Amino acid sequence: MNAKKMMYAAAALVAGWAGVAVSATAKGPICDTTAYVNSTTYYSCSGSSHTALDIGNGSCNEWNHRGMLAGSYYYKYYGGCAGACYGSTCNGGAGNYYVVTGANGWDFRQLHFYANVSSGSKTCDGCALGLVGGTGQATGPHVHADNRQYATRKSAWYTSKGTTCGTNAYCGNIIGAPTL
Amino acid sequence: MSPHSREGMTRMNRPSRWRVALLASAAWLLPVTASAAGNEPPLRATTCSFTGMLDELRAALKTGSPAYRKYVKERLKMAARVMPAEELLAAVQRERDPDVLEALGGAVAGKASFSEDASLLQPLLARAASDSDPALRAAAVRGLKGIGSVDAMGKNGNVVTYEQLIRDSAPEVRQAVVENLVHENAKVYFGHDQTVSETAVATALASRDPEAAAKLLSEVSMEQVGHETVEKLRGNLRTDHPGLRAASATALGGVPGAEAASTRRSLVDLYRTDKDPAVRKAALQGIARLGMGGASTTLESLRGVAPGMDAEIDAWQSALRLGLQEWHLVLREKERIRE
Repeated sequence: MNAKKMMYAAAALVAGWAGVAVSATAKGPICDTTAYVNSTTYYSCSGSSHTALDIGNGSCNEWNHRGMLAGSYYYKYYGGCAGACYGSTCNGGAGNYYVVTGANGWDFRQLHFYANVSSGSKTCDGCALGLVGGTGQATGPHVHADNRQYATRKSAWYTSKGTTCGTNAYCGNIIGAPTL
Repeated sequence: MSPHSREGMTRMNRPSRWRVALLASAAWLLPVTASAAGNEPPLRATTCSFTGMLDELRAALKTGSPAYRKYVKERLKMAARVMPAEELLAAVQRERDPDVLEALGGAVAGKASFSEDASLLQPLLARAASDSDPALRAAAVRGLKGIGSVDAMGKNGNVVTYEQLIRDSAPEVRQAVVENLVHENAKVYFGHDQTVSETAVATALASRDPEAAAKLLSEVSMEQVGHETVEKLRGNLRTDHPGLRAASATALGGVPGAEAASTRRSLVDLYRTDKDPAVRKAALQGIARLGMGGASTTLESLRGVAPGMDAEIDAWQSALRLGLQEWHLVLREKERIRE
């Protein structure tokens, strides 16, 4: 954005709430050092199109699946799926999931939760949202995270941080910069 | 369903894990400090304690670079997540330096948001409401910035609310209230939360400071507010303060679609009857936003009512003809045209 456009954008912001999308920071969802990214733009990095991150640590119904965004955000919960580690058709394949809705059609989603007492809509920072599971369309327990605009998945949020198959996704590691 | 995670059980068995987290943070700093030190003596190991971290925070906030100040505040926040709450809350209760209190408040707020325990905020809320020093009251309010503070106040029984804090006699406290609500609406909820928007309106209406109220009304999203709040905003179009009338008109431009028709009529009436140019300008903006491409006829019907404002109508017509689908782009183009 050139200086003039920035000036007009700033003037527009002063003129009232305008809802401009911003960049956030995403950390790994599991506080286990054995959590790794195993799918990015393509399933297993060489299969069909995916354009999201799949992250797992080989566990199911055991480890917390945490909010990935650094800072407090509103995670809206879509539940109703019975606990599963190896897939179901619930919620159109998303299983139990959360959405953080940003500006201008942007959102950030985390899918396939194994619901527990932590599951429900909430505003929090890095909190437990449920357990790592495989509800919805999942061949095994994992965390699916995507960043979409008007329901189209984007890849820049993780490629910009160099995140790829094999990247460690411990909860202290930054693995993406989603737009919201 | 399992009520506890393996991670959670591990933490219960190791209550002083925060010390390990703090040591890890300090280790991260080592290479940077060593390389920057040049001929300085080598770093020595010290005992890791909350008191030591607080001393370092206090010194950094007084004399440190902006980056170092940011670092010590972030380190405190991360350590606070896993350390026992008692020591942290005691420090919040006794701290007399506003900068340090704000940093401690941010750490407590971060811990409350991480652990989903809003009761941790009670000492901070108490200082925000009743400390005798206005600088400390403002610092305590600023400590709440960036979390879901409206929700947290509700979970604490609304014993302390922004509607109460905005009536503080100190302008720095009122400014902190406004900044918290504007930030929370935009950066935590992206304008989508009804409770935060309605709290902002209620806080503005409770305020005796028209500038603070106007900033709240004009900078908080109204996309989710209910009918009752829309009626309150409409009533505010008759207030004596022109800045407040303009801010209310700006706010009304962003109300939900179900309220658009009656709101548009109110803004047209405002444009026809109010003599203040800033209020008329805000009314036109509200009309343009409510109707977007469909606002052209209404805008054209107002041409000549205030001849000095016709250039403003021209700018809106030109911007709307571009067919842009997002409000911030329409607004930006209108500002460019009006240059």
